[in-house]
Amino acid sequence: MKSPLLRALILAVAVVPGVPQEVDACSCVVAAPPCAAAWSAQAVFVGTVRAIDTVPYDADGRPYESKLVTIDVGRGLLRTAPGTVQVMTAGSGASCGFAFEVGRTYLVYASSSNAGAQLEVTNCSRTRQVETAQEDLRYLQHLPDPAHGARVYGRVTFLHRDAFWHEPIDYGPLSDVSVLVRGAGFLREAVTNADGRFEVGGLPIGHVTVSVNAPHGADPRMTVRDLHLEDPRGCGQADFELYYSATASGRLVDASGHPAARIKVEAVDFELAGHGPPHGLSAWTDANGRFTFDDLPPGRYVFGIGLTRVPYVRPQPAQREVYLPGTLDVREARIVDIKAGDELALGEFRLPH
Amino acid sequence: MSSIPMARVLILALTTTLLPLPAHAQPWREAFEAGDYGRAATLLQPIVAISFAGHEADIDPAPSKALAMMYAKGLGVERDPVLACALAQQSEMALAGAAGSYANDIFRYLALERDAGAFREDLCDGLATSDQLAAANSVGCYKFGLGTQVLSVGPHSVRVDREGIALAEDGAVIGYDWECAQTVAGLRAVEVTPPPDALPGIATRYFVESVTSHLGHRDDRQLVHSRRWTLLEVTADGVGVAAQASLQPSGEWFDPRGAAEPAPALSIQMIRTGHVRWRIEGVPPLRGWLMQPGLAEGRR
Repeated sequence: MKSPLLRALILAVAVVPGVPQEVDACSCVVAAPPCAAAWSAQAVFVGTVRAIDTVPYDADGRPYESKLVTIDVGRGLLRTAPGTVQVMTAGSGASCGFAFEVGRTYLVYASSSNAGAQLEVTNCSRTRQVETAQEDLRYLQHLPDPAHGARVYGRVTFLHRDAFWHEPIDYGPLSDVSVLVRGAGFLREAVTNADGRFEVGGLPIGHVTVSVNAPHGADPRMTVRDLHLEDPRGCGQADFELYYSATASGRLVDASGHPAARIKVEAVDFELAGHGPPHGLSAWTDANGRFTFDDLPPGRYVFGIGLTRVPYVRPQPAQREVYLPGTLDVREARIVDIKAGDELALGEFRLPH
Repeated sequence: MSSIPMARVLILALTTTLLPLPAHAQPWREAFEAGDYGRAATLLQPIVAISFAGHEADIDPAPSKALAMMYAKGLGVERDPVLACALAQQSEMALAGAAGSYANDIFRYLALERDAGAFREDLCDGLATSDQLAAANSVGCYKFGLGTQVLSVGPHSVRVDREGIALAEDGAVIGYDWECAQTVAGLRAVEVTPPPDALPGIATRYFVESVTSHLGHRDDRQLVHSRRWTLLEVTADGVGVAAQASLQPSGEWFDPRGAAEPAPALSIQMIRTGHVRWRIEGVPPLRGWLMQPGLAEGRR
């Protein structure tokens, strides 16, 4: 079981900033800052679009409607000389294509295709019209001294979650939190300021791991980030959104004591049990009837089966609510008080006859 | 007409132009004929509301016509020409809805129709165009007992009237439109202050809490009076619904002439980022979050 929040966060951690994923619709993570995007791009330049041609293949030569964009480079900022370059982009925004227009001037962050022979641009990159690229140009035109080394910076904030509410709530920055930056042969520490921000400079290039000394009970999966520092003039951004979490597991058996497999077990706020709340957390039993809630916000819960209702839909007559430890009567339901960091064993949950 | 003693006018109107009395007793009519107009109004308001939303079999133009006359003359209620006009329109519509029952007496129906039209013209034609429009918008959604008032909500002045709740400063009717409330059972200003550890820039938030009575259908299609709790946020930009919930169990008709209903047991607090958590005690309790204005719901 993974909450939507957790899935979103895992996605954000797992993907490389600026690179679109192969999905039906284009879905971008937050673009990396200029000091990171510049060094992960194959070429960065300012240029004016001269022509756009539709071609039936993509940057790797596979059949896919794409745009071949011819750009007159006015200013080569990184790894590009003035002249003419051609970049490819997908044929539509839904496929992460960038909507170039002939005659307009852009700051372009181009990456290389998988085969490496063709530059390509996506709308997940920092590519933008030059008029809106002041932040990027400030950095690119005044690159830091490489002798100062790369830097890692970020912000640590906290998300409050309730058992009864479907969305995490921004609880603001966490100050005085220790952040460790580890790399090959070094370990550096920073402490977040009142705005939750931290920064570590003078770092060598290469792989670094950034970890937060999170408060007890914070979900440990949200406390570590891996970054790759590409250039001593570059940076890595590591923002952390921490939240409290707990786990609870148990085993569901039928009235005869046999494992109940592939059953959805739900956890709802204890005050809403018996009232058909629209929101709840769920976990499916495995072949042995075991289930695990691996991301429960702290709170007081009732566990059971069939506890939530789709709003405005009348439940089926045969639909009944069963509560842990195995009762049809909500008044006999066990209320489980879950605190941050708990790893609770709920025991056996027997379905009534 | 105004020179004729009022009671005679009313009795005359009711005995000459309305449908025949039903066989069963009608307490509102008894109160009315006894001159107990306050009680008659109390009895008539829910009947009129139900009648408008009800089934064809419930249609009876008499209650809305009687109540229209009472609001027109201020009998037992505070005089309200706009509401009187709205009720006259409902009475005329109710008669049209009952036309089928006159299939064997078409001339009787035509006479009643003529009288209903004249009655509506009497009460509506003298109104300003804006009031006529307000009356038309009020048909079926009467907000009985709601007068015009200006509510102080922190630094804001909020105008509360039949049209809705809106900032008084700009005079424009933007904001909450009551959503076809029948009565307003409660209204108060609520201020939510930042906690001591609030982040810089987080300020007090201002709300108007209202409890209104609405008509709705139960699952078995029976009409019920439901209570709706609404929390409206007041900012310099206007008044908007921040949270809304149905209060359980569904209440009886709220008599606007009676004592105000106790406010729901609302607890409301702000957290350091300006988001506000609210809770109304009950079984189950109603709970929710109000995001800081300008921020997306939930995470930001």
